[in-house]
Amino acid sequence: MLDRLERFVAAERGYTELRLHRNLSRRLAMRRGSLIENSTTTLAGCSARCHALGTFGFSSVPAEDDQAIERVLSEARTNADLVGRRAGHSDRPLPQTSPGAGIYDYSTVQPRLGVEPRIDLVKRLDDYVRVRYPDVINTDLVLNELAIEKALVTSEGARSYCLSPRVVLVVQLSVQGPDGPVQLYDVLGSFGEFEDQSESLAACEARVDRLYEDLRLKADGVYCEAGIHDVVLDSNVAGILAHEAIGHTCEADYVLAGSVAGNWLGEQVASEKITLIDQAGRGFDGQAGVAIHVDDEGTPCRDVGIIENGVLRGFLHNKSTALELGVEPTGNARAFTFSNEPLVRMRNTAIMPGSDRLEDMIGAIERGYYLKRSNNGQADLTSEFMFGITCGYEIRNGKLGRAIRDTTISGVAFDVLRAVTHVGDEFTWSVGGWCGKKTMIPVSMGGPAIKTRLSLGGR
Amino acid sequence: MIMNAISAEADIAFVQDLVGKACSAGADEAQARLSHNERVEVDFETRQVSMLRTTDDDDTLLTVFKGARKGSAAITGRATEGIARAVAEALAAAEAAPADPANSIAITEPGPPTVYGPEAADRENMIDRALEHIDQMAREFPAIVTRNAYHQFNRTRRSFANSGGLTRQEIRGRYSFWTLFAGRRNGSATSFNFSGASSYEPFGRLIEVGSLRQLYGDTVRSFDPRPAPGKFVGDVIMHADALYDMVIAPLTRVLGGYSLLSGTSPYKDRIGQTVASTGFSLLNRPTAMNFPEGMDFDGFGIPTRELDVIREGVLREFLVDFYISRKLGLKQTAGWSNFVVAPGTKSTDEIIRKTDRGIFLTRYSGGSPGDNLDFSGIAKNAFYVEDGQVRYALAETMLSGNLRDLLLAIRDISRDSVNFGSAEYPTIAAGGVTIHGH
Repeated sequence: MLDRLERFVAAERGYTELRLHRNLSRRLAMRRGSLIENSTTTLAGCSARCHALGTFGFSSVPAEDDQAIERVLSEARTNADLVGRRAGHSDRPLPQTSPGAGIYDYSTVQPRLGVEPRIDLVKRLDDYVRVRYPDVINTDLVLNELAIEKALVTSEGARSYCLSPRVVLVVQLSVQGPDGPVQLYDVLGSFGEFEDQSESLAACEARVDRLYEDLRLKADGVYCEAGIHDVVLDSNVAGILAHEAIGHTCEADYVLAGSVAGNWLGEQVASEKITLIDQAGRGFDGQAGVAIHVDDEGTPCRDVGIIENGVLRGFLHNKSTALELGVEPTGNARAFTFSNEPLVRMRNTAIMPGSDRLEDMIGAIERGYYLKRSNNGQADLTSEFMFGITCGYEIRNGKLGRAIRDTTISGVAFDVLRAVTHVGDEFTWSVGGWCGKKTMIPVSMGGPAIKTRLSLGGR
Repeated sequence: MIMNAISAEADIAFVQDLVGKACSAGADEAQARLSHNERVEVDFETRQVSMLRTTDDDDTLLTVFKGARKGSAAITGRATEGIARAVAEALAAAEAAPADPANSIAITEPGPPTVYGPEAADRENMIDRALEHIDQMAREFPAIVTRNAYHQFNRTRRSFANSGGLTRQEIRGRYSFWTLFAGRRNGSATSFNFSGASSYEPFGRLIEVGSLRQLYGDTVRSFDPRPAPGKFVGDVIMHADALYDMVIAPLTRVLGGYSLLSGTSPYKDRIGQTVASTGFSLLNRPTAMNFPEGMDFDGFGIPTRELDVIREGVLREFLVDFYISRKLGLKQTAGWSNFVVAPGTKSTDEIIRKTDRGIFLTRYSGGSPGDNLDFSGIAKNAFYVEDGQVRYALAETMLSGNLRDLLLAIRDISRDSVNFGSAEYPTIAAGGVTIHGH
């Protein structure tokens, strides 16, 4: 496959990327016992991007044959020439690195399974909840499988193939609270194909039991006291903080748009206990949720130490932002589908573990909150962020108290990281994440629990 | 296969053939819907046009029914092996699924094919408009940094066929513009904001698209923001750009059929009852001629229609598609949504002048509310309002309350609306929201 692409690229003049790209997915969704989605999707095609006169031309078609490849190469070159001529830019060449290369195939080696065991898993979990927890008024189960397969050749000599799969099972339960229905969800699954984890997914009743326990307590929970509080963020909430509140402000295209992080390179921006890395490959422990070794511009991916011991050290780059800021590309150019151009995107973004124990963090708080699960988050160029909190508990005199209802936490991310006093010793990756920026893309994020101070919404 | 060689007639023939193949392979019933889209996109930033992008997409979703079991497969392109795989995968999915008597194709009258908007993009004009915008922003709003701005033309052919003999087709060509921006001056930055709209006609100056001129001006006035003074209960004046995230998205979710299926909608027993102030009407208008992102038929091939969901504060209809209508025994009302909130009588300035204490909000960043519709989030691109005047730009200010209460506390709706091309919203003021500056 790569040899075939290389023959086409060899005939091109100027900077050229040529990509064959397939997203293979399956989605099952069951609501209250009804299978409302049962589908597979194959998104496949080819795209080319050329650079000329300081601008890019891009073209894609939903086909992979020779005629399709010739067409996207021709159109991409024509587009680059047309818009470059009209825009009148100078022809600054893009920064060049050693070309990325390699075959990174993470497809399963297990025998392939049909759709039956997948539907059986969802039905069995639905039955389990219905029998064991009759007060649950609705159960949502969503099984999402996605494998992204890319072959890339560039005029700079990059040759890479990667197949990166993941499976996500979302379990959401609803019970009746005193003022209406109350929900809570958990996300199971990991890197790999369904065949790699069908046994672990099948043994997930204990996770469902814990989810139900948290939900039951939440239904009778209390509203937070609005204001600034000492908090312990559980590891999956800390992971969202790493991605959403810090990671986005350090994407170089947002730095160029005015992100506050652009002013602080080399400065102490967080507690010295904080080291935050956007990680290439499969992450520092080989367990991250995204496999990325060569990015979609052909740059070899490397870890980017965004914050090292509290000091802001680096930003995430593609070739364009590296050109504008006079640095090396970092391998953060990613495209979600064949028809998307690569953008600066995070990969596996995490706060690195420390040495503190969760019990000690909770024990160190006289009056505050333990925030256990989050649903969504947004951040700003100012690093002001917001996350929805769906599960948490009061901390009173160093012990967990009553459960809390849904709330929102917010703060200025760098201030929150400066206020960190403890960093936990247990690390987890959240592999079900999506990031939205022109297009969606799968990401993973991780962290240990941390103790800090931030603002909670309440009544 | 080269996609631009394919015609509208060939699209219909393709979906009919796919349905036929599925039935020949063992499906009792089948339907196929195809979306063929040709896109031209000019991308630009503060100082330069960065890319010209042309894409062809050809997405087909085949759904088969066998013994009241359902399975679907989606493919791109029309390669023979892809078609064979789609038929096999959809059938395998259906054969493994539990039976559900609600699963079926729709039997409805075919409608005539419809065509809206231009046939092709005026690429030179699109590039001209982008260059003009860059130049105009440098002169009028030099403190604004533009990132990820894209000016698009999309021509989409949507085609549908089912095994009951129903075929439908519509073609829409339309322009759209979307941009993300922030203010940057002397090393300080404002919150980012974003907006855009679509139109059948080529845009004139992009700075006049949707509410962009106002949002750019608000951004320039947002340097040196500070928190709202303490914690108080006041009014929130939601600009059209903030209304979707804060009100329309969570409200229409719990008015939707899938929320009724879960049994958790707080409005499930409220048809005919007052759920909002009398000035508030929420209307679904998928066939409106001023919505280039509208739709003439839904995913089951059923004609879309106008629907008054909430009329003068009273809940009239749920948003029920064909499957949910069969599942729950409800009438089918909506398989596609383009919402309009009916305008009021006052200007936005009058609404602000009537505000004792509150905030004016052009973006809401909040957690997704649960089904009890409690909300809390941050006021973004917002201003503190006191004694009828806009006082200063806000930072680190949270809002919280309950959406059901908020709808009943709507006090004013502006007479001016913003048409985004997919929806049209005015500015709305409501009381009783807890506002908390950190």
